[in-house]
Amino acid sequence: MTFTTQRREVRSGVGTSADRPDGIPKVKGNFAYSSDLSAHGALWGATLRSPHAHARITRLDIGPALRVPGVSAILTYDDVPGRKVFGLEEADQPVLADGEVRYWGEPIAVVAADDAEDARRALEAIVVEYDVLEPLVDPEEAARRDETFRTMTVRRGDPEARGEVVVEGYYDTGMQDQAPLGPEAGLAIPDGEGGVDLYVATQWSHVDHEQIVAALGVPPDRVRVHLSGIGGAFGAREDVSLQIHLCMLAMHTGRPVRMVYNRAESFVGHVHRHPSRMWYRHEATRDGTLVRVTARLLLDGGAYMSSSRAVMANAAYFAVGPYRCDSVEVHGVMTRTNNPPCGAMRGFGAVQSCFGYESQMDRLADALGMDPVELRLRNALAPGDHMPTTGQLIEGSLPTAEVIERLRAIPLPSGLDATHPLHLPGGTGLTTSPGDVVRGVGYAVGMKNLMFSEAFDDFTEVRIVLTPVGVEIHTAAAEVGQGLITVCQQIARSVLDMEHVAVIFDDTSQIGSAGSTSASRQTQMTGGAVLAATTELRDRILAEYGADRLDAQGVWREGELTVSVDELCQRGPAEHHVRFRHPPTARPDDNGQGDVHVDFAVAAHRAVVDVDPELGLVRVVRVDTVQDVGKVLNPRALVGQIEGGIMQGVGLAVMEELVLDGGRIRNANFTDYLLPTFADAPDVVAEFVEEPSHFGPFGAKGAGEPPTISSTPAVAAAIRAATGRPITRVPVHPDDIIGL
Amino acid sequence: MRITITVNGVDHSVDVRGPESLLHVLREEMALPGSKNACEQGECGSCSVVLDGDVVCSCLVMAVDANGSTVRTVEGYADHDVLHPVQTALLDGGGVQCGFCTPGFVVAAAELFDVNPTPTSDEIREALAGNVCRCTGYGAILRGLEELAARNAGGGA
Amino acid sequence: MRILAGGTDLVPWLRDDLITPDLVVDIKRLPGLGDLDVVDGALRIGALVTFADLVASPLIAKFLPMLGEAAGTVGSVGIRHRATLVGNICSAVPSCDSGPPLLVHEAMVHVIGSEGGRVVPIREWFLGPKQTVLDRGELVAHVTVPIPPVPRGAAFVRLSRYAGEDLAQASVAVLSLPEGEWRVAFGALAPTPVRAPAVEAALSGRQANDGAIADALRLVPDAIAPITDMRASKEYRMAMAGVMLRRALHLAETRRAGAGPAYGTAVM
Repeated sequence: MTFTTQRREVRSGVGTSADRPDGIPKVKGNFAYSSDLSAHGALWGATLRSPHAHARITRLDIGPALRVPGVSAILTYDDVPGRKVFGLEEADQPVLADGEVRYWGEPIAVVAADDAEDARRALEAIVVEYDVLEPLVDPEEAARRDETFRTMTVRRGDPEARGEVVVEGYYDTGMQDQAPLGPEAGLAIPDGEGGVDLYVATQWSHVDHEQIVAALGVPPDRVRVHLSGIGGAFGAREDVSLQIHLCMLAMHTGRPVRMVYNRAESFVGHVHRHPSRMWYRHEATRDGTLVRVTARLLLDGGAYMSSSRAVMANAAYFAVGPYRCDSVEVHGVMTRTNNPPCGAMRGFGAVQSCFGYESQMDRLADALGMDPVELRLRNALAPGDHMPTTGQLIEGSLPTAEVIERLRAIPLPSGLDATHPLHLPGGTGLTTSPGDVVRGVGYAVGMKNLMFSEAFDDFTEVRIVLTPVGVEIHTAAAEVGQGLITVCQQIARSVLDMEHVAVIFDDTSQIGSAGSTSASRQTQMTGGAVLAATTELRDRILAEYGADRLDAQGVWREGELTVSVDELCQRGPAEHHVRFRHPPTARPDDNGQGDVHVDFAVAAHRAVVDVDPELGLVRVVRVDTVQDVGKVLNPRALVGQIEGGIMQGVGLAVMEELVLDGGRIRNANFTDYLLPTFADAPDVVAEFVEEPSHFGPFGAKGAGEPPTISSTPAVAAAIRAATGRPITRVPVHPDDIIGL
Repeated sequence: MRITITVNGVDHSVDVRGPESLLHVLREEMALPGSKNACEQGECGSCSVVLDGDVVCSCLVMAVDANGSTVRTVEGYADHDVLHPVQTALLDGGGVQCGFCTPGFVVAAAELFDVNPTPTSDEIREALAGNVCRCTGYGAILRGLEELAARNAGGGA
Repeated sequence: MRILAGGTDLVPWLRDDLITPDLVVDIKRLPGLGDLDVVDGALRIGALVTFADLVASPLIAKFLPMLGEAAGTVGSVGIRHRATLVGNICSAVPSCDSGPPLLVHEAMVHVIGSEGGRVVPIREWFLGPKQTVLDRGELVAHVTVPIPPVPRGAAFVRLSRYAGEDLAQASVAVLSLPEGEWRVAFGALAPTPVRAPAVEAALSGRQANDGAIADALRLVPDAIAPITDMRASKEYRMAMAGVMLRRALHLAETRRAGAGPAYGTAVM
């Protein structure tokens, strides 16, 4: 046997803009999303939903529907074999309505039929009679009635501290939707032995699995949840939607069942970003040092809990932002109403309060006659400081001042570029001439925790397998489009010095949980687990063979290849499994004090807008950002996260809102739920600050959420600067600009 | 009703009923799920196909209405392992994340470049304003296509 | 019975059960309906002519550039390749983008049916939201639009909530003709697109100067009847109608004088 002794360099390791492994199938149209799945003989599932926000079901008769040709099963509350409720934090939501419906669109029955049309006819044939009840839809009224999921108080420092300059204000944020383009969809296939395999687009297959087996009342090994192709998530796929329904239908009929929500159904099939009403008081010395911040935050959780308690905590813990302040009091109330349930969306509570505190910082700067950027710099939180809310000592990196200063140094765009109607407010509608436009510039800074907090046992499992053709990374972590799959490959390549790395998504029976693809956590958690697992495997191999290096050809000692990779794979060690945790966090005390977070990231945004004040139209020209990312693992993917996150922040600032009427969503479609298009997209200039995290792989920090947090208040500030209007609510409507 | 449509050069004959859309028939009857079902209202462009030479939203075309016509879907752009230049441009620019909008962008951008190989940034934005992307913020898509336009311009065409 | 041309309204309406016709008649193979040509001093726009055809047509660019601008604001590229101008006036939603331009151009709608043909002035065409004078068993063969005399200037200003594909929240079409004749029409500001004769009379024989515009704007509230819906409030629409009319008058006059921005590209 002859071995070559030429080394091959790894080309796509950490720090490169490595290609996505799923890129080619995605551009060819061959990538299988959950909505593309089918199986021989599969039935179509469909869901009957409540047309009322609150009602008692006085009669439910599926008899006529069962006689519709092609119908195989119709299941209701009574057919739920196990635990009849589910939920992320607490199981409080009926799998199917329990005799009362508490929000518009709540599932009442599910149907399996030969095709989609038969299923639709069956839904129409189900007889339901309601005793319609008055829905509770006003969060303030809910708070008065103590209809709450969580109330909390964060108290820190001297409550008597007073500043000479005081500003107060109310701020509101609307209900935003994640609107992932891929609809909720899945395929359940009975295994013929009393179990079921579910293929579904989810952010967290293991937490789905827990809820499914509980509802089915079967042992955990009877159900396997497989990740299928995911068409975006942004928080919308953290809760169970159709998972339990599909498994019930498949188990009941003994046949494969597929289900795909249409767009209108998708809007009621997942949770939304909590709308908020906030009151703030900021007190400062004459030189602009924050003395005391008090806030009352009212968020509406809607009909069921979902992740509302954690969202409330985040809103409260980040209620002051990345600023030093030694006297803080924040009251948070998360209400329970008959509005659509709210839960996780990119930014997770930190978005709402950031709009509040950044609006206040601008108001304070105005009252002080001070430059708003200087005010932020004066109070910028830094390592060695304590979190203004929880009192936690900031031990890791937190380059707040640096992101602000670097942002300020990015050159502003030149004046109005009137070369194409798209550059003007109103676009191709030709409403606006250059002379109708005023420009504004606004800054905002935001902060977010990374990974799960408040003593949650947050872990991820990874198994590394060496094969003669390359490395396999086994994980249950959901790739929702963000590029985790690429980052995991890059880390493995760099550690093992092997170019060929495949990420294999294991089902829930093959590997333990990877935790949720949320909370900006997967780069640090599953990426960190890949780093740990590959490093430990490499060290075991080197120790086993007394070697000094490992690469794709095998094991080397003093420049000689001593064991080929084929032989290594036969003899081992060629496999390594880790369950990886981040450092523990604490539960807060009654005053919200404690080391409740693992790591933090900051980002600063500057928006430039052109406003047509007479028509109330806004064009967001550019959003510049500097973000604290720890270490850049993949520049191209990172820019993708930042630009995409900013666009969702811009959406919340100027157009995205679910409009409710008595609990009913009036715009559950893309005609009236406005998503920013190519014609609306601002240019983005993004820079990074690389101060390594104490915990992330190679020092990296999660990067998915910060772009969505302070981009919204930056746009609002820019509109204020352009118009002089107060702008206390997002999304900003034309009426707010005109002053109607 | 039995209809025949030539899709990506292959004749497909299928039975359709009522107002089923071309999108539905492509995905469910012709095993071509590349065209996507994101809104089915003509608002997002993810179902874009070329119908007798024009980019259309296939969710708004009745399948019976496409009888006898020629359709090109996202599956019809790569020649086996050789990607269409627009597909390469989207990948190189980083314009693919979750990828659900990507088939629509491939089709709409390929047709734009077919008519105008060197579009300006504004022409790209305007031509693709009917294609919604929720992941990228459009910057990476724009950069990829701008580079393709620049390459086409530099190619001495 | 419903007529199918482009189907961009019909297909989703059918799917969502908003309409349940017993019969859908596809007219795409009927001869002559795809014509876009000049006949007797008017542009003839056949029932199968799409908005993309209008955007690309040199005849439209030469004789009715405002209609071309309006066509370019409809939907997206993928919609404009299917949606037809005739279909747009037959769907007759209040925000119908073809309505105001056809109203100021005094287009004629040529209807054929089993009883023979009739020609309906566009002002008599719209009856209410999604309602026209078209009877069961009739279809529109084409629309004719008289080529206006020179010097002329026109503007179509369309308000939407964002730069993406959006229904018009309000629109104004203005046509300025020789001898001080003004024509004004509004879209999305009443149950149907409407001409505004009182506004036109106030402007008649005058330049679009501050005084004339002020007189015209005073009459706008009586010319329209906007509603509040989820998309915009009545008050907003009412206020914006005036702002847009003022801008459209300026633009049309500038264009008539030949000094203004070119048609079909941009206002700048």
